[in-house]
Amino acid sequence: MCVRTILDASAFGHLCSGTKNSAGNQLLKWIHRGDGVIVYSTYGKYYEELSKNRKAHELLGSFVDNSKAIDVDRTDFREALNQIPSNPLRKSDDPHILALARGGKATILFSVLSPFVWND
Amino acid sequence: MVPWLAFQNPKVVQKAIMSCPITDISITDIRTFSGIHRAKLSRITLLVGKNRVGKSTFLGCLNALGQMAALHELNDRTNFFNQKPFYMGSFESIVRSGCESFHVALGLDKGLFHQFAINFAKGSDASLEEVKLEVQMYDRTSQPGPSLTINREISEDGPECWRFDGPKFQFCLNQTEFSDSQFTTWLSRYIAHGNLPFSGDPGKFKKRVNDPMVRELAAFTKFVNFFRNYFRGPISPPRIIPIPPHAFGRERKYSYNSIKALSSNDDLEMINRIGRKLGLFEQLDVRKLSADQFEILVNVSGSSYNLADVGNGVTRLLPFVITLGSAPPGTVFLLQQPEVRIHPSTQAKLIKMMAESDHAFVVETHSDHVIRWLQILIKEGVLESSDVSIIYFERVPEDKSATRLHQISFDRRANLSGHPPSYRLFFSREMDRLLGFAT
Repeated sequence: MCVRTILDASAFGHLCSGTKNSAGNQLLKWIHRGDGVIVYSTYGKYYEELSKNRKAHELLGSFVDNSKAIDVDRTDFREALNQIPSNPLRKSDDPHILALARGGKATILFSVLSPFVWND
Repeated sequence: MVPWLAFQNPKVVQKAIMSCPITDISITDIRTFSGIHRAKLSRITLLVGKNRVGKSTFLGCLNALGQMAALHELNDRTNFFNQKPFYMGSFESIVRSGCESFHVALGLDKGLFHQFAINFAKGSDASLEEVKLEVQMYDRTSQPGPSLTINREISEDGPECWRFDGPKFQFCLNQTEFSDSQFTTWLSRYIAHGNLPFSGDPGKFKKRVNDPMVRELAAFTKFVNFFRNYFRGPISPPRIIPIPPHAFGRERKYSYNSIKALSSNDDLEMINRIGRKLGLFEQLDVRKLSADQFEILVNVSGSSYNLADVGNGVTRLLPFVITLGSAPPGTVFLLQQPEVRIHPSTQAKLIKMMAESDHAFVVETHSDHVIRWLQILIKEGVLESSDVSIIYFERVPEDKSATRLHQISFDRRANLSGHPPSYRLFFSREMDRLLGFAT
């Protein structure tokens, strides 16, 4: 089964500079083994952040080329963004990540700060 | 004016987009195809995979069966599998090692047949012999209609015979009635001339068939009615044009007008418009040097050069450009590696031209640019995601002589689905090493 994963825009650089046993390197191996796939969007703040990082852009390009990345449909992403409830438990300064999770049906977020798994 | 030359407005062109006249193919026991393998075709179908996994064989089968399903100028002596540019050889080199027969079938979107399938066995002199033909007809409302099966049967005590099975009829004709014709040739002759076997006359059938029983006479009458209802003309069979990967001959002088010879309507201006659209040349002309000597001149950047003196890319794409310019709408092009010797920017233009044409394409390719540009055109709305698919040929790990097919499709954001983990594995690893990831 291919697990859909969000790679936080700021975490792309972490993958590029990863050493052999770093979490970033393990994630890469996991994706290339066919267990995981990146979900991304070309809409909103997520893509704006990604666009600023040339290395991240290049890496995303290689994921896309090798069918390891799924471009979340813009309509689905926008709908998910609009549907994020005002529930204080779901408040976030990164609503685009939540929208990507909902729109892209992702279950894992890989972030520089702390990798975690949620149940939506 | 043909649609692909008017692609400034994609919305207009989008309406002209059609489906592939051939909807699917099945191949059984041919070379690397062990057992039955089915694949659906889209308007643009890419065949990808390593070398020696059967991509060219797939195209060869498609070409052969497409020609036979068209029932056009068939000849008992012609081996349609062994034609330019595929040259699959005789029965022994086509059938999978250890098998005694092979089977191919097509699904068709329009025309006479909805399904067309043939079994082949070894004939005399290593030739191919049709031993079973199964066709399902389209009815007058273009819905799938009834089926007809013709079997070649050899009984121990009697002559070889053909057994006809159709809706509520079954009868046999022995070989003396039809000599040793192939089924498809026999059918094509009757359809081409608008005739019926024995002129459709049960009296003549009775005279030619030894002591037919009343049941057989009744069956023949039903067959005649079936024939009248469904084998009607004129028909619009799929037109298939194979384009080989090798180039137009780079000769300084030709002993005949090669452009005229290759183009059915000799529309040089059409060829020039396509050439300009692809950025290959500004003008192409044929100059007569003497009664039987011609020179092809290519105008690039304002100067004219002999074809032998311009880049390989021009001669590589010229056969395709010429054929595309004269092909009737709905033609199926079988392309072998159109990317060979072509810069990625021209590959992109070529793919866009294919996307916006009113033809269908089955493309054997090793080019990432070809795949990438189709994805771009899906994302930009020039192509519907259902217009494009990939057939990935993978060698079976437990049997290196066998191939399995994976049908890969796209969604509206051009994401792929249906691909196995091995798809692009080589490229992933290559990219990791290039990016400097620890392995």
